[in-house]
Amino acid sequence: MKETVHHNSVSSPEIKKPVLKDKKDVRSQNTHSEDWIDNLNQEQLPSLELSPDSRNQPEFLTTKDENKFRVKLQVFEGPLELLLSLVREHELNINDIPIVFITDQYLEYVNLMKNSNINLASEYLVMASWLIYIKSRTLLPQSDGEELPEEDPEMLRQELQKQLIEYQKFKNLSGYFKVAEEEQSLHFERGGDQEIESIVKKINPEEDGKIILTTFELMNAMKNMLELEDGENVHLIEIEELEVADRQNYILDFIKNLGSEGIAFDKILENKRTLTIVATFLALLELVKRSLIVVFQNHSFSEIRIKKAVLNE
Amino acid sequence: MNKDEHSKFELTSDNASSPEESAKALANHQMEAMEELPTTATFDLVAREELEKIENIEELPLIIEEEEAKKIVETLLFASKEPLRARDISVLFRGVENIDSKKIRKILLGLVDEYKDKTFQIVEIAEGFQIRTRSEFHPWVRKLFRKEKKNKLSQAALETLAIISYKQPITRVEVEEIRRVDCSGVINTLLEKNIIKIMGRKDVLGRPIVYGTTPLFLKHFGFKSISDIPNPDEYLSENGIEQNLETIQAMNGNANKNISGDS
Repeated sequence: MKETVHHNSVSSPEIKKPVLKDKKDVRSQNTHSEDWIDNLNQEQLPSLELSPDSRNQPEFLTTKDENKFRVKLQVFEGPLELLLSLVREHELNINDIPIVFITDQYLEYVNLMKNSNINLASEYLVMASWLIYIKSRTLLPQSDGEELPEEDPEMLRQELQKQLIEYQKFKNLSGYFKVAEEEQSLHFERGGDQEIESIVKKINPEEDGKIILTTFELMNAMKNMLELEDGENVHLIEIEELEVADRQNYILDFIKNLGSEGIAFDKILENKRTLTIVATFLALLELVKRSLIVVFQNHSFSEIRIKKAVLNE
Repeated sequence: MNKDEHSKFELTSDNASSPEESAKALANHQMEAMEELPTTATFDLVAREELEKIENIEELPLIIEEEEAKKIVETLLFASKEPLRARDISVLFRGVENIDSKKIRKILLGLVDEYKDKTFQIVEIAEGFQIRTRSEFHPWVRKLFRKEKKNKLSQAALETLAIISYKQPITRVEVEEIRRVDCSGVINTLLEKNIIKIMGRKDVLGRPIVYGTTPLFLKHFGFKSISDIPNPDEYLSENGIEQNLETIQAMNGNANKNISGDS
């Protein structure tokens, strides 16, 4: 189940104003460092104190008798933890679980969670259906010797117990891990695990939310700004606007006074920047299209030359 | 012994035809290897290579007095943020005839003992040794770091870790078979926190990923090595936890006042 759901006190939907008691009885107690051992030994049982008819008589309950109506649900890590807590609550032997009884208890709890608007994780329902299956196999009369192993109620019960025991072991081991984690958290290695900078900023708790800067940090910031201003790493980029029309005029201008021999194409380029070349070339094509210039070769494989289409002689 | 001889040990450990000294060193080396065998699962190859690069920088004297060696080891522990292994330190001492990794381990254990009465403590943790603050001063250090809580793992994460650490390498589905809850979220969180890692794939249908614990896991819980993780079979009853509380305290060399006061 999600840990975020209602921690301790959960109201039944039918009841308008649930009386929530013992706010303290939540897992969040763990925050206090000295409490953890107590918590560990505390029985983590669901305390289900629900008067038998409470769900049917909301009015009566919301008015006076606070003590009678108290629903505290514990957040479980999963169906197995819920089952384990039921086993403990009813002081059952984990090696000899009365399957009918535990199934009823389990379903009652699951129903309660459902009625309390807790989003039931599907795992709880899977477990519920398994329990019901085992229960049904247990209650049904058995035919002699015809049972498949997976249908034998005793085998099924054993399997459930095996799972519970296995889970119990690791759950308890995780309790040991928790203790070990707590102990280790009291020790710090050199340098902690934070950057010095953040320590400096955090060391003054009064100034929460403000940016605290030392003179040195301010000077440093200024220095950085000045370095930027120095222009070592700064380049001004001028946007060069090249238009094909401009290049056309430029070409026409360039070859205006040339004779019939014209000029080689590469001579008209004043610089070899890609953009210039492209624009000039496009301009050239445009001029050819408009029959303003002639592109020719004197012979095969010689350089390409351009000249005016109409020579003004 | 010179460097070539030393590296020979690394490659052919059954080279018995060397001179007496080498044979002795060889024996030590083998013992060391035996000792550290179970812990090599998380051996940090990169760090080892780095160390091997460094070791050529300076010519070391052939003999270093043990008292001096102790100071060097102590200095190295102080300088290092992470736990150092005897084997890592011995690489630095390569070329020094009278100091091998077995002797360094002895020095380290001696230091652990010696530091019992000092301001700091040296502990054997995460396959190495580390200098760190004592628990009784944790409120002060916490104040310095303005740290309310250490990153505590959730109950779901602890359960998952308990299973993974003891049964590694293990697939997600196998963890879920024990917990009977979807574990993908928890496993991802643990992966992000670098407490577990992907160890490879299981050779079964679908080749599922198998997970195992990292050195950070050992450090987080104060385990010396993976073999230090208690056997869950001893945890069938609840009171096993209390008993192991004492074990933890013994493990850390000093009884922590907070804990012993409460229990």
